[in-house]
Amino acid sequence: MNEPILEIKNITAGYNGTRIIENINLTVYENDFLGIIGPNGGGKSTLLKVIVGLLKPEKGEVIFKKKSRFGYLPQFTLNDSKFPITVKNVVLSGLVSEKKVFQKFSQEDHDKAEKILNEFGLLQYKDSPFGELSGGQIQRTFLCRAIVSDPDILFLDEPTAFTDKDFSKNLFKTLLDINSDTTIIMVTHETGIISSYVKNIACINRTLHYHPGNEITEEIIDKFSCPVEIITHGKFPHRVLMMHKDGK
Amino acid sequence: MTDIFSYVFFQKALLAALLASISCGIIGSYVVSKRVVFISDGIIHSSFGGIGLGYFIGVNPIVTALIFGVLSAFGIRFVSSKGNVREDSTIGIFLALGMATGIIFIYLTPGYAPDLSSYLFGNILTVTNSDIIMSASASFSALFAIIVFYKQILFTAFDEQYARIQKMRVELINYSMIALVAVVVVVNIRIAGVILIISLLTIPQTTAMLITRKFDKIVILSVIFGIISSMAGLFISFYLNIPSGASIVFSEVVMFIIIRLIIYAVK
Repeated sequence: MNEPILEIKNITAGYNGTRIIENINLTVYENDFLGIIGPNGGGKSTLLKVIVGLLKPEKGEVIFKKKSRFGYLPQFTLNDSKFPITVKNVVLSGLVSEKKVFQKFSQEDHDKAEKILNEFGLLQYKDSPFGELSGGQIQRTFLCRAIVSDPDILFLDEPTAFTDKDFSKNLFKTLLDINSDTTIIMVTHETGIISSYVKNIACINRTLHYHPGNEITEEIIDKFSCPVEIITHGKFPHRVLMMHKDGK
Repeated sequence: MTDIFSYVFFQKALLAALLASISCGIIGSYVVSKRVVFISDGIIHSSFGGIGLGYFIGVNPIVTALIFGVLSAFGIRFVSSKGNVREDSTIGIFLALGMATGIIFIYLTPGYAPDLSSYLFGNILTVTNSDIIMSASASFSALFAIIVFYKQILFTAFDEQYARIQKMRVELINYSMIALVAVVVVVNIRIAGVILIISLLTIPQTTAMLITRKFDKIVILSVIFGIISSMAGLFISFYLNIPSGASIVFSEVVMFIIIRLIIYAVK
């Protein structure tokens, strides 16, 4: 059994007094590939924000069992980013937590950034202004930023939004590669895509239910309105579950 | 032509314009990139309250304006982040309140405020030695900040949320930078005045952004464009006998138009 890397205890959180998630308890183990699924507004992104420290919970705590490096791919928003920064600098910003305040980026850091840009077919844009990239290229650049530091835990918030099938394939290939050293926590509503890659599933709709492996019962689906229709899991036989009664 | 260089006041004016171009070029690149132009203008206008206070209590108005500028910079940030008031509305309130405070103090000060218009519209030919020293300190601070904390400034301005996750001291950097904006604009108020100083923070930078989208190059080009247009403005002001602040603004805009036309012609 792997060691726990992250423990979430009794988290209740929301915005401006409106509670989005309540009494969430979850332990994540090293090298897990956890998919967090749930309906829109169910609190998937909110939970992720609490874990990475962007949102202070009303109560409860998030405990990291050891000092961990984070990688985070935020939910994609199409913004008018005319900010004057090059694509390579965006990726380098993923290494900033490893640098001392006055320390400059080394040649090794630059090589690392270029290597990862190359893997995602972005090397030719390394000196281009970030604002000139397409939506899919922006998402890929942010993914490069998230994994350039070889994080211990990688958080992904709807990674496949705004991208094409090629990207998804490349993404999951990369994720499976790094999963041997990296714990991955991914929020998504596209269960069809993730289901063959994740090891465990947590379902969140205000409260959370953890599904070790792919043991999902109809009762759980009813109770949590998990948007799970098909669970396929690696080499295991596919499981086809019933549609939700409310059609969600 | 060479004659005017022998005037001490003109030498001082040239030096002041050079120093202002350096500090405003650097800080303005941050202001334009992070889109905090309006907040900067709010700070400048609210520092007018300090100018009025300086007149009223009889100290150098730049010193009291510095205090007002920095406090209103913090005030705008604080109220808009904690007070549940939207930032642009907060800026509007601080801007008007600062100007109103200045007007009341000046009204209450006995006698006529002799160089009030130099604070409002700028008069680079009236700069004093202490103005030069303050402006030089501000230029040095801006240079130091951008060289030493380049990655912190760039990354927090680009993506605050990610900077937070990277355990960067985002609040500290934001407050320090906005304080630096306040200091830079206030010490250079004699160049273009409360009303026009925003031009030094925005026009050379916007011109630079026509040419490059790299932050470090924008900083360098903004300083160069600032120097060229403020020098040109200074000479125009001297020979045509018009206010320096206004002639510098015109030079900056003409420079913007020329560069834009060149790019248009080349492409």
